[in-house]
Amino acid sequence: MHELSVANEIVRVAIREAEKRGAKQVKSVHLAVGRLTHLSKEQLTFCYNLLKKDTILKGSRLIITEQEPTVKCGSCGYLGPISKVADDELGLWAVSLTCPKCGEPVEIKEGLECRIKAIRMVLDKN
Amino acid sequence: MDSSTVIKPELGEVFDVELEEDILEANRKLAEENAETLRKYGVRSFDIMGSVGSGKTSLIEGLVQMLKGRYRIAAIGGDVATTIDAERIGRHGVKVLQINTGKECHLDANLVKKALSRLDLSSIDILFIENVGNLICPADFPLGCEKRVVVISVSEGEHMVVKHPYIFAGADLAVINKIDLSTIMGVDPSKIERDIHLIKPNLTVIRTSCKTGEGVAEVAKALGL
Repeated sequence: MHELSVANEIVRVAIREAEKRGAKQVKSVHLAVGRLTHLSKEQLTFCYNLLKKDTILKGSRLIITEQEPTVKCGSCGYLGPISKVADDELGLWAVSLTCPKCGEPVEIKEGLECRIKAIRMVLDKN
Repeated sequence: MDSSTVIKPELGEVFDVELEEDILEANRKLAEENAETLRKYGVRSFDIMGSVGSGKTSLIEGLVQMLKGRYRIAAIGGDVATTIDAERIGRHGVKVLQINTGKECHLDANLVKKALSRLDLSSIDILFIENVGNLICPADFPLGCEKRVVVISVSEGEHMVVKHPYIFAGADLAVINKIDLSTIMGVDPSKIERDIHLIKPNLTVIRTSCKTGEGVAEVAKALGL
């Protein structure tokens, strides 16, 4: 639901970086989005495409990679994918902060990010 | 390193600029600043989240009523529009501020920072912040409060927890409200509690009826008040 403000920030950062380097064109912006955020890939792309018009980003694409959540267990030291609970009958799927090895509570290490990893740009010859 | 071994792009060449800039991090940093400000003044702060109509305002009213003799309390109400909730809490004789987000579906750390600058923090012991009624977006935007509380009511049906797991994953306390309606609604609060513990096994869950006052004292106790 807040994809527009997030996309606006992505556009602001990408324009800033392109201007800083005197780029003449931006090809793509690469974004890592954690699955534990509520950010929708489709809506982010839609908002990005609206906002890029009339800017240096106009010919660029937003490329989003979804980041799988990783958790760490304070009890047994497990570091790996988050547990999931599913109820097929209801079509429900949810994450669980329970350690898949020992059942104790875990801490989220990855999966909450919305990180610009790279911006591909063409530098100006002048 | 010898400059001849460093590869640099020629002008006109495609160049990948590597960045590690987190868009949500800006809010988290401001939230940390808010937390620091609140700690400096010794203000204990609680972010009350939950659906529209789950009973967030009623819970704050119940807590204010119970605690106002012992603590100096202030509240910040967050809504898209109107000052109705802030006025309800203000009737209990505590300082209230209303944030109207206009269009945004959640409070963010920047709005709370602005609100904090309008409060005399040295004359406050406890601050309740009522978030915008929403089980989705507030999860992505911490405000800098000591604890995040999520209020769910039995009238929302049995499946609200598994439909909105992330807000429970980030909460420090869960409240199941309108417990007096569970029979009429045909909703088993134990099922809601089981779901909450599937998502977050160590989360304290308290059943309340803010209407009758049942369980409100337990919430205060769980918040260390």
